[in-house]
Amino acid sequence: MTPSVSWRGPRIAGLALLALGVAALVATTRIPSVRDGWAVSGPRLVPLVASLMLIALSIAFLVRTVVRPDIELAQFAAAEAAKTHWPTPGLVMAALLGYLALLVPAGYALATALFFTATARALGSRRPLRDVIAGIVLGTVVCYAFTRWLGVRLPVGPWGV
Amino acid sequence: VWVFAASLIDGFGAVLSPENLLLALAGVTLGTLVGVLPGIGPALTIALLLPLTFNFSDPVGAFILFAGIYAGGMYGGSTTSILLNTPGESASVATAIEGFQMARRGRARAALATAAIGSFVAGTIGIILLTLLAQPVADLALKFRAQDYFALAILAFASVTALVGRSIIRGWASLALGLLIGCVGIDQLTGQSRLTFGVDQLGNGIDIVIVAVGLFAVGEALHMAAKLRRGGEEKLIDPGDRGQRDGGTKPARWLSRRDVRRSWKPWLRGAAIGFPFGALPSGGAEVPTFLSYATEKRLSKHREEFGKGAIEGVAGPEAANNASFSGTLVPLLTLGIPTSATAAIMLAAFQIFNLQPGPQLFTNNSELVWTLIASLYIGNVMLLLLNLPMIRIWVKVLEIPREALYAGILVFATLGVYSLSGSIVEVLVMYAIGVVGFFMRRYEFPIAPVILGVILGPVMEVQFRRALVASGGDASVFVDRPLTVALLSAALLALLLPYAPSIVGKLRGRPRPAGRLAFGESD
Repeated sequence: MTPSVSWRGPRIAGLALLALGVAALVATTRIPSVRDGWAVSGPRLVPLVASLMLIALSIAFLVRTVVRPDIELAQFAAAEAAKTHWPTPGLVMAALLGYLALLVPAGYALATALFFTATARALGSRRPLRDVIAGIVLGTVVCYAFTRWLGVRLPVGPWGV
Repeated sequence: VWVFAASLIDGFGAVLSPENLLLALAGVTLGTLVGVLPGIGPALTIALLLPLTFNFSDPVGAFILFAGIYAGGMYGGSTTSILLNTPGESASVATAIEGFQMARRGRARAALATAAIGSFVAGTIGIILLTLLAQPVADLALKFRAQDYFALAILAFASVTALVGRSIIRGWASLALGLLIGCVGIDQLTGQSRLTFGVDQLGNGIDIVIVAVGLFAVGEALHMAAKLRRGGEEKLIDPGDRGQRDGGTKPARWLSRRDVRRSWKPWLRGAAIGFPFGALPSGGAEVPTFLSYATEKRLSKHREEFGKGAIEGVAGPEAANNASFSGTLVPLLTLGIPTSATAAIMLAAFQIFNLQPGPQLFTNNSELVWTLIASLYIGNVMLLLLNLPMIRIWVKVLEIPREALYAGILVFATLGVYSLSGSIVEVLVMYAIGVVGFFMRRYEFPIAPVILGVILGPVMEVQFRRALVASGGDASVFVDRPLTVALLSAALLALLLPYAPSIVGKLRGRPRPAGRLAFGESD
């Protein structure tokens, strides 16, 4: 059996990189430069070189999905795709954003406990009680240790933890 | 010679303080722990700890901790390879081949022992070689000028071919991405704001810590998380099991006399292969471990046992990966060139403490260098003492539920970046970089060149422009001095080296033999 191949993912990744390179190139032309302009020792040179490099390489990368295709990459991408359960990273990202949104209003300890429980659940944990306890312990211990011993300011929320 | 012996003794004096000993112990313990856990390794761990190092008043402690984690990761990886057949690190993939077979045949304890002792022997040899190389390089330091630092950065970029895995295109694309991230913020020389896309918070640039934590911690956690639900059941072999016992009652001996006789040559050969490969830009410990495996297979008198649990196949690669760790420190400390992902992260730590890795480090911060080297000797002994007697504890570590582990990594990643800046926007940038890291892993874009670009891009740029301004715009400044020319030629050589077989083939008028030499993460 020959392993399956997938080109869609690599092509989207190549296009994303290309877009990034073009965006960086446009941003490079907007760098204000009073006198040096495009002088070699000016502030534009390195971003110019780097963004052109990225554009050229992402085009080369895209070409290799069509001409002299990089079969090993397509097989790797297909193997990755087969093992991927897409909702999981999506839910984890959503949990991360929720964590950030809650951090200041709810305080570090509570936000951490909630995030930990929710993420463990999203990753397939079937023991919610254990996760809740672990989350609360993690949140309060970290909060205490960091504010007390390391002098880091963490958001305390309405109840002081 | 006496100066250098005195420096080393001073280093031992410094490292034997209770605080530094404790940090070394913490480092090797933590390193073994993450080495044992599949999927997370020393690069991720050091990235997560980077924000904490801002609280260290003294960089020496931080580097003792990090070096311990790095070395511990190399030790710990073998445990998982042997008992679970899931290599904890890319460096211990080769160990898994024979190691797991030995464990299945009731020889887990012998496999663990030859791995641990081999690591110790090879680690010690590697550290001695590092010690001997340190001083000559330090003497070079005084000769460096701006154009030489520029050339050195170019050499580092060229050696990125070492970090690129299977595809040059993807490796250089990663580097370009890193260079662009490094440009974000206020230009150091003219004060112009660059590539900030109108976001005020980006004015100070994107800190290397944000990039490292995003790519290595969040990216890796997302990547593992995505595949968690489709993962198969893992079967662990417990070295205390009944099947691992001699005659049913007593646990089997660690190593029999016959095992030692078959192991000691592979240990030494492994060290001899591992150290130079670690020191050269060849992509970390993976190439030398497989090379050592192949060597042992060819030289063994028991070739028929290979594939069924030959002890040489564990002893050699494990020795090679520990020796390559010490080898990696040579270009990192002397030239500031990382040859593995973990070394790239350690380079970021140098930047946090405003240390210029490279020849100057040995003159300006010789105390740090020698204390670090002394701590390697101590850490190596600690690892030997920690590993075998406590094997049951390390096995227990594998029972930590993965869901909790990845959730915890994300909590610490967020905490680290937030505690640095107190800014939600910077945490968001870190998450975004994490998503980029996730997709990079899915399509085999190497991560380390991004880190290299972010760190060395600005250094290269400033030195380049300074050299040009100082010479009044005359570009010949880059070819005037022999040292600059030597460094730039070395960079060119590093660029061409992977293509050597096909170039030689063409010159001889033969068809392309094997394409370019492939190094790196995915090989």
